[in-house]
Amino acid sequence: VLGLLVSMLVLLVLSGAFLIKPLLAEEPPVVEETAGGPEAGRVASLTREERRQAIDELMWRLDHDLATGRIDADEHRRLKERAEQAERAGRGKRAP
Amino acid sequence: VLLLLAQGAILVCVPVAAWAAFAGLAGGLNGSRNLAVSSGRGLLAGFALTALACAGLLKALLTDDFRIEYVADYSSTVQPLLYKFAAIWGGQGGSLLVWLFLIGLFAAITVWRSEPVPARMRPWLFAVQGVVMLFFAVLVAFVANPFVRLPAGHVPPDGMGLNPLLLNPWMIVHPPALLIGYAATTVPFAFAVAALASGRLDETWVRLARRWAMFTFTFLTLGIVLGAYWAYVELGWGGYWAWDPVENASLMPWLVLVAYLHSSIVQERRGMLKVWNVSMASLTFLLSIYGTFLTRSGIISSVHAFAKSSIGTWFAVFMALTALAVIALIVWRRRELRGSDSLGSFVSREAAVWASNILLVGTTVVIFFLTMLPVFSELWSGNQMTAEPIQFTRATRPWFLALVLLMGIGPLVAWRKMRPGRLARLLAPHLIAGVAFAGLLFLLGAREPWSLAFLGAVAFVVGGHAFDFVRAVRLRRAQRDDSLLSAVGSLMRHHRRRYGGYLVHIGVVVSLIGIAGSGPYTEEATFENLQPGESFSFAGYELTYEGFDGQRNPRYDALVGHVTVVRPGGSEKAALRPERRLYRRTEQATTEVAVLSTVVPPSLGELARVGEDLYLIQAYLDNASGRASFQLIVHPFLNWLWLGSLLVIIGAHWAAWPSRQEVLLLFGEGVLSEQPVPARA
Repeated sequence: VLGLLVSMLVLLVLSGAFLIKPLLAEEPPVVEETAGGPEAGRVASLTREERRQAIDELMWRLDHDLATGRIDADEHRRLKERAEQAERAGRGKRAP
Repeated sequence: VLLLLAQGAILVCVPVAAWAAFAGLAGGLNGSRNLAVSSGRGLLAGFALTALACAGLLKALLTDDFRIEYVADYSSTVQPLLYKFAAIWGGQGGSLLVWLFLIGLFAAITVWRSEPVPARMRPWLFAVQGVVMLFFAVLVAFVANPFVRLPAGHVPPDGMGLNPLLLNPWMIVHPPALLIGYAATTVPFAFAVAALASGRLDETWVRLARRWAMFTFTFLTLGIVLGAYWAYVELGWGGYWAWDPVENASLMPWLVLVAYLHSSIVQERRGMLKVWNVSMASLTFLLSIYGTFLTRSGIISSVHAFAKSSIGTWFAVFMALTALAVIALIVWRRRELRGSDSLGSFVSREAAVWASNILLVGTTVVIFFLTMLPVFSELWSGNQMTAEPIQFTRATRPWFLALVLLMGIGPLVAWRKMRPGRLARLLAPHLIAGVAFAGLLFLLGAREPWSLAFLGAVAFVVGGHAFDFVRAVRLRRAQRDDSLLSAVGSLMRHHRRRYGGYLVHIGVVVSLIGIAGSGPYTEEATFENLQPGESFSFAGYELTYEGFDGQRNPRYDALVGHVTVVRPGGSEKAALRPERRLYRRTEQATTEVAVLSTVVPPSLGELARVGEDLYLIQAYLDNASGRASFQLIVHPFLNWLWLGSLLVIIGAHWAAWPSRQEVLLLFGEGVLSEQPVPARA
């Protein structure tokens, strides 16, 4: 029983110190969240070439979806415009 | 020292998990980032403590420390090392500890990878995982503690060892696979509740939870399939699925998870089905808890009845409180949960996904009702009624058939709306192929209507998927001048979500060939009182009972029959060794069946035997005279079931890890989703 109490005490002190430490720090300022979703970080890591390839793949997929009837001509046009908008947005980005 | 630390760790885990839950809750309510960080640290510390506890129990098992009651109950000095290791999930306390460890592990990974999680969602995410960890920590520490010591003087020189039915290599991997699947359901559930609590109800939580949901799907599938395979090779009744309550309890969360995986795509793409998605993620989690409740409560008898205890009440209360909390949050957030769009047309991808969800949940409800029939009937009339396996099969097969047909339609339907005539033209060739295939099987002698319907549906699904894939490859080759192989490779590489999903669908229908092809066409016979040297034939197989030998193992005595078999149309002899074992310590008898699978048939004329199993059970063997009786079962096509399951797992893994480019393609820039494309400076 004594051994168990000592082991619990040691673990409790270690865990407690680990948990309390962040509470002693100053509260960081609130950062406004932006749109972009969880993939934003991964997307930002794409090189310019990878980005171009990605847009190419998307364009191919939209053509394929149009050909197989998954999307109609209106949807195809709308999505292509969005893809081009994304491509234009990406052009200004400096490649890592 | 390790044992003392392990015992202490599990007790300390309770306040640590309570702190993780409390700090997360407080951080979520007052927006404190420091409290969120502290909550995350609580989960990390909880994980470290449970890892320590697992290490202590493993050491006790591996070193035969029979002072610990759990070790004395589930291990023994003669138990092989691998089974001593597996004994950690062989009993209640150990399996709950492993579950707690896995919850801690997955929580630690979410803390470690929490950077993409919106700041106001993060504390809630940690709080939910803290609550689940607290529940399991309380159970392990105070209700089913695997570290309870036997009083001095009551320590046995040797342990009882694992239940002989569990001494099968597949049992080493089946329980952990299922436990990983069950424990992983906590993460999508935590994201769903965090989204509800924080009010961040857009597609973000669905995208963050997606990989976890796929991971859960992979392991639940693996756990279910391995369990079925274990039942097939170990239980010796000739089947793989008996609609046992605990089998059903693993199938139900799987079905609801499949519904969620499909409906979440609609939220990602169209911002719809928000209430449905949080409900499905929560229901998957609740049903994983329900499985344990069924196993442990003893409310319904099952082949897993060895695990019976009073712990079921704890699970029932936890399930009820969790369900109430989720319902309350949904009601509270009902305005924000309104979808961004309504179902525009009934001929659209959204409608197909919606229909598949209704069918999946409907199937789950049917299975739930039949599983709980003994309880419901007793409450209603005082008499306990039990649904027979055939009743489960009859009640669920129309639902499954509709689902398979929808699987063939869904991927070909357009988003938003599609002209019915166009869809009909697209589907007509595959529908004709399906009917023609069923007709061909009928001409070849297949007569069971449901089997024909399912196999026709299989051809319909394969046709649709193959047509679409071939068309994609052709378009790619025409536009890019690629070789066939590189076109296929680049399609699979760049569009992993779509074609990984196709592979899962193909895996499901390949499995269906095994199920629909074997069930009604199984042949069975018993050959009694055979003398050594006597030959007999069955379903084209030529068999000879050569004799037997008795074997003495440290744990059991066995009578091993020696049977040689020549496959239909073949000349090579194969040896089969069906056994009956008697475990000395528990005086429990088990049957070890012998299975002869046909992968490549001996001749082209026997092509229909690809995937067939000859299943041989030693029904009786007289030690003195050597006379023996054998039960033989031929399962046509059965191995297609295992092959299909493998494809499902590979496909799910493939779809779960899209390339960086695909992430950008689909949603990173919001091109395909409803949210605006973010501007970049």
